[in-house]
Amino acid sequence: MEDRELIEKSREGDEEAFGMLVKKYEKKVFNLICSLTRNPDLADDLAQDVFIKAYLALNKFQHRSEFGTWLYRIAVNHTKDFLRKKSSMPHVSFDTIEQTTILQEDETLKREAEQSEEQRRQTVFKALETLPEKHRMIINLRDVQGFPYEEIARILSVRPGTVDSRLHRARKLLRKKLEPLLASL
Amino acid sequence: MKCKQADRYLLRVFDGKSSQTDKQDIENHLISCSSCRKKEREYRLIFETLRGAPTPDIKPYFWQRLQPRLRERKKFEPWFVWKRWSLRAVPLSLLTVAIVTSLIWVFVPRRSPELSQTEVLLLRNLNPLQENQAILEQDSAENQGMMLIFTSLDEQGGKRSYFP
Repeated sequence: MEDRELIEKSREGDEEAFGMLVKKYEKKVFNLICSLTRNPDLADDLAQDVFIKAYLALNKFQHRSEFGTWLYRIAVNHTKDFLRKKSSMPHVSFDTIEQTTILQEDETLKREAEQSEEQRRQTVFKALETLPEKHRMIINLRDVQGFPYEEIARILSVRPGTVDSRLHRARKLLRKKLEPLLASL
Repeated sequence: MKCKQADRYLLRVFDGKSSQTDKQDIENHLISCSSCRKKEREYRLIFETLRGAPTPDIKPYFWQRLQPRLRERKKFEPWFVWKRWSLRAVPLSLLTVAIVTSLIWVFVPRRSPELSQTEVLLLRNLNPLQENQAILEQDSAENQGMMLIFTSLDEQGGKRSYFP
């Protein structure tokens, strides 16, 4: 059954139709949130919240974009709001970061980088977490989740040109952060 | 090609968004520029790490766990409350209005429209000023006044004669 048909049925109160939509998108929504939070349990909770929000707002969905894109936008905004409220994720503004913090971070990252591939992954993701939110978000969407530029633009409600420039800057920042460690990785 | 330009083109190559010519230009630049070669290696390592990151499996019975939460939320959501009750409320209110109207129609007595004395006299084709006319024709002005007062008192008492 097509998304449009399932959406119409869900609007009329057909829970099973919504269940089919959930089953179709649950993995993608969960992965997206998981890549942003790096916490599977939290990602599961937030993914459930996202589907509840989507269900309650289904009447506002006007088919201007794909249902999946609309859902990912809710997921991204909900996760951003949650992380801002809870501050469970380290968020260090790149503009205000002090040199000492960089050095401390680098030292920590260096020690971790000396170990296995898993640790290399942790190092890269840890560095990613220290980027400003908008840069972290766009790298997650493009380089971790593999969304195309056009869809990222729709999810983040920005122009495709903005995606291009923001992604370029984010990648440069990430490489700069990891530069002292990359030789040993 | 300059290094700054190469940096942007390099990222496009990793994204698969560059033309064959750009790709060739980058490759030529990388051969001659050790600094950009280093950058290319670093970007490659970062992208491989990010793209190859394993994703944990979603917990089982996602939909089954979601359903009770969804039902709980629906109970208090104004739109769903309205949707649930509006279907019953519209015919119910129409039925109530119909019952109340029919009860009023049956039980409330209908009163015939009351006519004033003047209207009654006019309907009988009589002059409503006839009684007063007789008084005004009296000789004395004092008597006229007294007669008019007594006539009005009679009217209040309910006993009234229109003929002198």
